[in-house]
Amino acid sequence: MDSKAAVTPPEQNPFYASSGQSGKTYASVVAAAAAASKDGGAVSSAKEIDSSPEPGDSDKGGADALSAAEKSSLEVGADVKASDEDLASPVAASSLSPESEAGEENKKVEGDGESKESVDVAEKQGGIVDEKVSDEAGAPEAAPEAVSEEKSGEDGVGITEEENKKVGEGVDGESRLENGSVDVGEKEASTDGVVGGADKEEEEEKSSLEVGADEKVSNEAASLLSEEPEAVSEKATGEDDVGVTQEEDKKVEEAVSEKLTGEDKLGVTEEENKKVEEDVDDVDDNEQSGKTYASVVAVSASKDGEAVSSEKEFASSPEAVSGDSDKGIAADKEVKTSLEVGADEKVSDEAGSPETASLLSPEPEVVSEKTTEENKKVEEGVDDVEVNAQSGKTYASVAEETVNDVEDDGELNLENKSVDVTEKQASTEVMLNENPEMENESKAAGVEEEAVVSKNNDEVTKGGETNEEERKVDVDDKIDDVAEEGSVELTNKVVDSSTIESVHVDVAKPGVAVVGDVEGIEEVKLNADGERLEVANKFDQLGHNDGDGLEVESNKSVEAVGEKLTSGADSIADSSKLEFADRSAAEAEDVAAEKLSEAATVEPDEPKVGGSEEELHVSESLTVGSVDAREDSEPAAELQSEPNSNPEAKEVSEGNIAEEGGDKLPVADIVSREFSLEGKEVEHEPSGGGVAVVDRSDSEEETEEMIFGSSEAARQFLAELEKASSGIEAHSDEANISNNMSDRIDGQIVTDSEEDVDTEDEGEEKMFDSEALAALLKAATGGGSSEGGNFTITSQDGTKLFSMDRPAGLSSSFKPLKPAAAPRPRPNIFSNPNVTVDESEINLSEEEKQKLEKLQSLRVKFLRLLQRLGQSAEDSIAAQVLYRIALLAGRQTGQLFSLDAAKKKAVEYEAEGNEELNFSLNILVLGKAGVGKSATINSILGNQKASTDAFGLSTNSVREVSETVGGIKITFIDTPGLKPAAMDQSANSKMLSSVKKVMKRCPPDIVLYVDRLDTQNRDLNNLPLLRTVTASLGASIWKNAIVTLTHAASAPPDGPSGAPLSYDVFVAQCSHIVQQSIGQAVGDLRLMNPSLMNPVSLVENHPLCRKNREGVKVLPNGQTWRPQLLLLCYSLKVLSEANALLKPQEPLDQRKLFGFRVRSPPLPYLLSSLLQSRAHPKLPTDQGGDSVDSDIEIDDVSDTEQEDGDEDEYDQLPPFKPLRKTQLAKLSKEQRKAYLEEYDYRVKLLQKKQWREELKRMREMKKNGKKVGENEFGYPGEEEDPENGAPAAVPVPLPDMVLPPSFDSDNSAYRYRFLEPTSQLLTRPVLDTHGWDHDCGYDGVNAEYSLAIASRFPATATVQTTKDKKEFNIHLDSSVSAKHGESGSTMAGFDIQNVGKQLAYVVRGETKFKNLKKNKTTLGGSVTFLGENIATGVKLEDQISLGKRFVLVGSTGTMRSQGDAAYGANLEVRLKEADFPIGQDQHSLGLSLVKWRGDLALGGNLQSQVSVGRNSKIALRAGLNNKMSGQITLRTSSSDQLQIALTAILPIAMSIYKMLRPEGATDKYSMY
Amino acid sequence: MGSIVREWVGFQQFPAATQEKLIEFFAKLKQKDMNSLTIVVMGKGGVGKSSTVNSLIGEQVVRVSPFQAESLRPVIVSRTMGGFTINIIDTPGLVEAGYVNHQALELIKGFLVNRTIDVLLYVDRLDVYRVDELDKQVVQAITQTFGKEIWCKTLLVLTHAQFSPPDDLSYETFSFKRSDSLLKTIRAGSKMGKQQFEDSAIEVVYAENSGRCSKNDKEEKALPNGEAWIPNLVKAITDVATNQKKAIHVDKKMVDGSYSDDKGKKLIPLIIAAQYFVVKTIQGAIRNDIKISGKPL
Repeated sequence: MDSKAAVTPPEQNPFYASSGQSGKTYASVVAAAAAASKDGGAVSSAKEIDSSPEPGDSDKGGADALSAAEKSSLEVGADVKASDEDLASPVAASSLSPESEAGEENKKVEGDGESKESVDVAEKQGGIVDEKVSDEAGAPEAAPEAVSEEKSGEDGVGITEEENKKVGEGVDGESRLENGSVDVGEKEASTDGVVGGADKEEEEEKSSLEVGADEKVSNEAASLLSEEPEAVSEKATGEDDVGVTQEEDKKVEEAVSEKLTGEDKLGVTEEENKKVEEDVDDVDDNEQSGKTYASVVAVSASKDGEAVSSEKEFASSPEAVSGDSDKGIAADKEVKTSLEVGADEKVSDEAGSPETASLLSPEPEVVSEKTTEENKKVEEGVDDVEVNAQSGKTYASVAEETVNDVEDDGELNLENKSVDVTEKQASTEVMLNENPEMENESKAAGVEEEAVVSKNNDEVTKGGETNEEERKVDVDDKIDDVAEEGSVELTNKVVDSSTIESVHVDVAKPGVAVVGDVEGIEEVKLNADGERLEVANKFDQLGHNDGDGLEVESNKSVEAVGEKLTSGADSIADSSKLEFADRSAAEAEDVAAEKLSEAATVEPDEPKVGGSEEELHVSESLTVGSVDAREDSEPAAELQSEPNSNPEAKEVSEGNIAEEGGDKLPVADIVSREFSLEGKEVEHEPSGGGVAVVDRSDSEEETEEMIFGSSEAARQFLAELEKASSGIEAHSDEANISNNMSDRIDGQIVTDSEEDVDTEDEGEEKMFDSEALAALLKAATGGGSSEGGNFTITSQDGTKLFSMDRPAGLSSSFKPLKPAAAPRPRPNIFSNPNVTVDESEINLSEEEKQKLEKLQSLRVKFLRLLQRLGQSAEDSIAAQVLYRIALLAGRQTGQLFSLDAAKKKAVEYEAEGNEELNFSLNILVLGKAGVGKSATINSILGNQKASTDAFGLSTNSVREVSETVGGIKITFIDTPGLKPAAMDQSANSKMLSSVKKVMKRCPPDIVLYVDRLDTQNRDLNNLPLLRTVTASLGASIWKNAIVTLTHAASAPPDGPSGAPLSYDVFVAQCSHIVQQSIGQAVGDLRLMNPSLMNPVSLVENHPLCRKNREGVKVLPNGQTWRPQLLLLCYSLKVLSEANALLKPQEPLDQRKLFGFRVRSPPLPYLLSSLLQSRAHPKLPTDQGGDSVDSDIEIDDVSDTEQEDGDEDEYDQLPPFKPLRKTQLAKLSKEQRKAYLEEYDYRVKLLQKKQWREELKRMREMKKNGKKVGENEFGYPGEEEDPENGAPAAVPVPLPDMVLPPSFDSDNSAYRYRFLEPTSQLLTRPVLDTHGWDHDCGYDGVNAEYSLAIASRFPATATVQTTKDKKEFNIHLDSSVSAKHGESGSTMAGFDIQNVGKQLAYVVRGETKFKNLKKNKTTLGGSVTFLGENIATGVKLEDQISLGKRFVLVGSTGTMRSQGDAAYGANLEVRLKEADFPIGQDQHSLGLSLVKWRGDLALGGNLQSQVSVGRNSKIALRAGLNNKMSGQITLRTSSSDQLQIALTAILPIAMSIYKMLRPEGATDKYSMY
Repeated sequence: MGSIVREWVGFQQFPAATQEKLIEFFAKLKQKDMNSLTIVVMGKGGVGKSSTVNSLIGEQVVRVSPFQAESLRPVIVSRTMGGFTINIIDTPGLVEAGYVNHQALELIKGFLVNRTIDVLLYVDRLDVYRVDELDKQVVQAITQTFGKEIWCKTLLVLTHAQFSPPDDLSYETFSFKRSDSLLKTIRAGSKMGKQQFEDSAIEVVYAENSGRCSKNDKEEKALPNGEAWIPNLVKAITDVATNQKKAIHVDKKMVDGSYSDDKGKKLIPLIIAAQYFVVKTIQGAIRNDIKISGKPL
């Protein structure tokens, strides 16, 4: 197969093309260019070689599987020398491995890690790869495209192998495969590592990409990177691009092309790094066929060769590559990936990168869109990105840096779509570092998303962040997918040599691998440094970091990711944030831990790049290479979802790189080849997303290459390297972590490079030196901050992952990353970084800084506490706390605030012993009598301060017990036992009130709720006392409560089967019972949400409790409870302090910490109140305004005139003498009827007459008013608001009620009524018209006042307060209006009302136009302040009257808050009686529609009011929504008692309704 | 209720030593012409009532689960062996959510109609330190339902007897204190006079139902003090069953008539009749008044 592969490369291009047509996916393989280190030459090279072969094998395997093998997109650039070859091969391997890993996932990874020898590793990887490939192939086979991809990938591998020797570059092709197989839904991600060095041109042919000459390995790498992406999608085209350097066929396109060109140059000349980007075009092509992916390769060539060291570095560099390809299974979909490789040589390059970054950024957005939309077909090229966004999700951006300053990032985004089923995309970003002289790093972050069925892809891709660094990738996996599939995530981490960077990228994990489908996208960032590229700098920095012993090892494997994925996007987001926060590797670890705890498990794997890095110093560039490797690995991980494997792979790669680097410093050559490789990669892309880092040593062709291909190999290398060891390991699943890592890496790298340049030794030393460390930390922190991340360093995209907009930030973020580097000999290099650093720091406001400092000191404090307790920061509780602090620190973390720094400080302080630990703890102990409260206190304090007695009341009063334990002052508030009997609760309350007094003096940080473990049952016996506690001390008492279960050593009871329960089950059950009781007592959501449960700790106070060797009491489960309990207490306190610190900014309470979502305002509610039409206040009559509050149309007025005849009618009637009651009683039935009819008729006529007179008066007033008004007020009396009339919804809740004609003591209306006619203040009772279970519906008071401001702006204010049995509500409405001429009026208003438990303040405004005679339009907007949220809304309303009786009102509007939006529309038809308002019959039918959070609510509403007979009225009100819940209200009012029987209609109607809809609205309540 | 009387298979499960003793006790009962024995088990929830029943029978006749109240209504288990029938009635826990579960008590009472309670096992845990108001209320409720006499036929069974006492107390001291405090509670709750209480002489028996209960050399489940507790318990049961006090027979009257409210029922018609007359009188007076004043209403 290898041979084939090798052969194929040349052909590949064609293949690619073909593949593109046919298939969608595949992985691109990347050969990593290795920097040829000379020294190492032999050794390292050998290793490399070995590795490469493996890859080849793997590839082959893949190829076979693929059958077609059409494309071996991967070509490894042959590098000039053996080293190159090696590198290439490794890369390929790495790339493959990642894929394979993805497929196989963990296993593979593990394998990698285990094997140390590069060769072996490589082999393993290769094997893995093969497997994977095959796996993929299998899938692919299903999907032709996939197959093709694989083939390509294989080919690439093959090439690498062949070339291995030759290759100096590592090319990576990554490809991700996705595939979307329609049915199957599988995906493949292949990443290819691009081989950076193309040693041999020969090979070049094959692999169009070859990295530029060794010298500029970095360049090559860049090119590779770019190519890959394209390759994937277009494969053919992509490859071509890659080829750019080589020129083969690639159709690299524009943006890409630019980069490409740059790359080419690099490649060719070796000048520098180039990054190739590919584009859309390619993408498009791809689209047709395949789907996507990007492969990135970074190559870095390190220069010198110190063999070993350099090699190592290279290895690290490998990181660069990660390629992802996505495939869309269905041909329909096409994914395009636009890969951009930024190669930079210099500034210009950098510039390029930013662009790319920008490009990327768009993509992210796109992604988001996509996510929402889901699968779309993507096509596009660069543009594609955007397009992709539509369709796909991913892509990777690559960044490169040049030693000089340039870095580019190329990001590729891959997207995929899955046609039907699922698809995924993986994008990888690869970054390459080259280092020959300088190092380049590129990182790629790949993001993957899966649109898949689930859709939601988050967009992870934040990644592209850019600047030099790279982006992180964000991958969003979709949780959904994950969950669904249970897929693994792929996190890939790209390890950079610098480890961190690349790692991060991959880690970004974005790629999630969905179970089969998902692809991970990785972004690889390549930093290609020309010799003096910034990239190098980064590498150096990385190196430093490592050296420092950052030991970033923190990388963690992302395995957890899978879980996370499942857990949900949210979790992912969180995790990512966390990661960001932790920039330092350690942090990363923590994060990982946290993640684990949270969602799933994060696996910590992380290669230890650090070690490699140290060595790398020497060959800084090499390190870069390693980085790439990592990346590659990551992609793989993505593919398959196992991050771990990736990390390992990465490590390995790094190691290799390093070695290589050592061999040959300059890798320019390599670089060039890499470029060529890129071309290949493109083709290959599909195959795998191996990233290869190419390192080239300029000096020698030999450049080493680290091939990442086999991550394992990388690991091995790493292991070897371990010395340094600070590997960057943390690959956290989350992208953030990756980002952080990458950041760090960059920083380190940079520093290293400088030193390296000078001398290896120096470099190393420096690496270790504190400056470097500081830089690292900074970088790390920066990364953390950047969570959001676009940036590697500072970006906080992590947080933003969810947000859609990360794009913009990318470039900026980039800079920050670099800065980390401490001042170095090479000013140029650092200049950028420094600048960035400054920027990042400047960006922090003073206030934020302070907060951060406080947070940091808190963190230090916590770490010290941990130390004192003898607990490690990896303890799950501790890790969570650290994670949360990191979360809190969130975006602003800076390098000063990294976990590592904190750890270091903590150790220092503790060692010195003179630093006061300002920490004390107040603990309130509550619980039933006799459960062991006092005994627990004694146990914790270690003495008998609190007297205990088994039978008596040992504690009779609340008292405080203080003691210093381990330097921490702990004050216990011991309380008498609570009594369980419901009757005794008053005694409990009394006791608790004295507790409360003590609490005021000594506010407790922690509350221990003590109960016995062995007496739990479900008889709810504790409920009364828990309720009392809640009532007396407030529900917040439970916020920091720990459930403490004593007698923890009791043996578990027998289960139902008769056999004793296991201890863990027993404890879990008991804990659950207590927690549930508390939840029930508090009455909140605790029951529903396990994360809100109070933590449980176990206690055993019995003197006979088993003890371990240290004499510490041990529980049956082996836990030492006392330190655990203390730890829990400390943790809670630290967290609450941290929260308090950030309160103004981020008021987290524990719930939030626990992942509770901040309550967003009830948008639908706000929307509906916005949509309500309101009457504009008018000037009171006595001020010359139109006091007539009618909605009478002018027509009416005219009508009245026309109907004068009618008017006369009344006057013309014969006189009528109403009868007395007694007289009436004497009439016969018929007589009575006749009389009543006549009477009614006359009343009606009279009313009409009066009405007309009223109208007339009004009209005249208008006329007068016009005269007067025009003079005085300019206030035409025109009736502006016909709609305001009665039928319109007037905000006043209660229509003036019709009072009975005479005083009736039974009518309660009188009790509240007070009308003061001369005043503008109107006060009246509020009747709850809908309630029927009140004997008297009056439960509130309404006061209304209207006035005119400045005599021309009418204003009204209405206050209504209601208080029923449960709640008190207040509602204030105030509005002011101004008229504009005849047909316009503007109203501004301010409302206060209760929304839930909060008060909402609403500022609103609207303008009404009467644009046609029968049409009125209203435009309005509102801003609502609810708690901490602000919601803004806009509405548009139109009212048309049709004839006199019909009114049609339509309104639509939207309300937004916190990125959440609700849309709504109302349509209402009103029909009123012809002689309204005399006849009161009216009907209205309304439809409303609200869309919120993807939920569509439709509601219909019917109101009808009809007179029945002369004495009764029936009002019917019915509403029904699409959730099948509804309400029917039928009201009858009658002075004929008989009709009361009609009330029976209601239950009848209800039961009929139930019969019709048996499923009824029982459980389905609308969320509105 | 119509429970099926079965052969006591579980008896064979007891160790030989236990079997011997039990047979001896049963023989003693038979001598007194008691061919059947009805034991009612009551107590708070989760103290081990059902487990005790299972231990006594030697079979898993009642479902037991550690955290849930499995017995929501009384269950009778009848076993016969050699012409001797033992009926054990397991009851639901008497406490729920901080209140005495009167509903459960009613259920139990209804279940026991027309049965005779030979022995009441009042079960609580030994390893709980405190006695609280609820315990007293439970005792009160039982007293109200079955009368003070029930306590003369009562055994106090303390489960979870295999444990080590806190505070360096010896097992004996602890168990004494614990049973003493419970007995005091019973006395207070049942409002028995001192003399009466002493007469009733409620015996305390310890039990350990757990499968982890240690065994003595005869394979019997034994307490920390080495005694096999099942024979002990049965012995105590026979003692109580054969003591001089009358067994409690639950009849219809006890079930229905315990409401003091009923006493007034008879008066209802009288009161109505009285009302009638009173009203009549008043009405008459009013009419008279109207007549006198001569004005229509």
